[in-house]
Amino acid sequence: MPTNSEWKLLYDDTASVIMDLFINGRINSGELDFLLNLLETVMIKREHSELVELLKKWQPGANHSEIDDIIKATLLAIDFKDQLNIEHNVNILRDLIDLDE
Amino acid sequence: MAVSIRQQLADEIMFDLESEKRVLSSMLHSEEACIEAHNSLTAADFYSPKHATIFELTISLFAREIRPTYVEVLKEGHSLGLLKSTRDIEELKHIVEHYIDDENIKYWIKRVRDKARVRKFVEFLKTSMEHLQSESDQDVEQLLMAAEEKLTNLTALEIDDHIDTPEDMANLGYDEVERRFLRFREIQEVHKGVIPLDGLTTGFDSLNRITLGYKPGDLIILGAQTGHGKTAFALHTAKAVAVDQGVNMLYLNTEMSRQQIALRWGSILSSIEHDRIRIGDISENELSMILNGYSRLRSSGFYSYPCPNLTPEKTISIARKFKTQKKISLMIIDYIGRMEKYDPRFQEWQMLEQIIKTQKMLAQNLQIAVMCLVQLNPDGTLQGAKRMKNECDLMLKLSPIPREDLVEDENLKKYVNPNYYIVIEKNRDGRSGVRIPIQFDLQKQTMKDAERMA
Repeated sequence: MPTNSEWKLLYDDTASVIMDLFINGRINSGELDFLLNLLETVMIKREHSELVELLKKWQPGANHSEIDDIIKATLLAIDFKDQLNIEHNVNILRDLIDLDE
Repeated sequence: MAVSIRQQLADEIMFDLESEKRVLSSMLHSEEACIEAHNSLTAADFYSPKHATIFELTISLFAREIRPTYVEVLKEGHSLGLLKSTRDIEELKHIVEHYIDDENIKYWIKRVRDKARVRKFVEFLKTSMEHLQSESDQDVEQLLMAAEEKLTNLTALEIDDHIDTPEDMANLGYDEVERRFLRFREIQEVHKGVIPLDGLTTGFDSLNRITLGYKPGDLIILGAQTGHGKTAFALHTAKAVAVDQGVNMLYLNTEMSRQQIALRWGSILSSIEHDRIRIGDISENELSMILNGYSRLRSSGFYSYPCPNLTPEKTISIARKFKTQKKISLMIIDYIGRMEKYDPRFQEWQMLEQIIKTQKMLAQNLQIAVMCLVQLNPDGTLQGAKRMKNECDLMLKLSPIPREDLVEDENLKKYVNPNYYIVIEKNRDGRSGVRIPIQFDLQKQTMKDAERMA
């Protein structure tokens, strides 16, 4: 297990990397919001472990299947302030990732 | 060519970027630091424009009850288009990593404020110099008077201090009289002689008529002996203000658990005996009445903070937080005798006096009404009562009506089953020495004005 200071360093560095990716045009505004929200959810609030497990399971193919695109669109549509919305989208993602395997 | 005043001063006299970073970093890690900084600083106190921006972003999140973490500040900055370059991000990250702890937050805030005051002083010197250089034929008396006024504002007065000029005072007086004149007319014409309140309802018609309600800046002290209705009075007030009128308020309880407070509400809102609710001896019909009561509480403005180790300092920071985030109009402290001491060498009455003084200042600064519950001695007296009386705006005592009064007092015979008095010991804005008979149902934890006989 990482120590508190290692955990904090990881959080700070990851947030900075995500923001740099946006500033350098590597990700768009929607992707930025999703990644920052995900980071906050995982490392500060420590909620929605199911979503994290699903993301670990998801192995996007090198040639970007249509399903991968749908999964990504579903992820970006998640409203992290709305519990029902998260649960609803996690269910959709579970089905999509199972299909993708 | 003359060297400007600014050029002659070393940077470390003018600003302290290290302190600015420490303050911001503490705000990004600790709620206490946010509360303290929100109350003591403005964006203009920061020398670095970037620091001022980060301060504003953090305060804006805090006021909306969003914990201002690094990610939240990044999101907020991004959505407002304020963080545009890798350098901005690096600077913010550097601040976040600067965090040590917020124990010395007051020290760092003071340093930031002091530097801001120095800059204002330099600005004053600069403009005074410019005046001297630009006007060859000047009224020296006027110049010195203007300079003195500006300098006084910098030295003697705090940012929020305000001195009323004769004109201000006359305008204020006229506005107050006009407001009362119009209100009196409204009472006569619209309310048919019933006086509308100046502040929050007390929950008792008779007390409302005498006090015109609990007003912003008021400190109210309510004394009662152990087991004689302090908490019932507090929650009766809370019901009238937060449940019946939907006004936001904060209730600080030093001795009861969350569950105990929640159960008390069951009795108050359903008028079912507390003991029966406590052991679950209720019918299905009563259960639905209680649930109905809780649904009223759900949509009310009642915020509760059970806190067994409450200190006067903690009340200040909690009150500031709730004033900012929930716009509370009333805070009730139940009760101050259980608060922890500032200094263990203090006598009990000295501690109470200090707490009461703090709460009066808090009420005035935040423009909310603060009600402090105190415990009376077995003989009905209160230690340090005279000093407390000096500080407060309204001092009430809740006490059982003596049996001989019920038998002998002709006036009391005009009421239906009165059993308690609310005694108005002090009332800054009106009559005092008045005893109001009420009905206190200990079992149902409810209070109401004693009704007059038909």
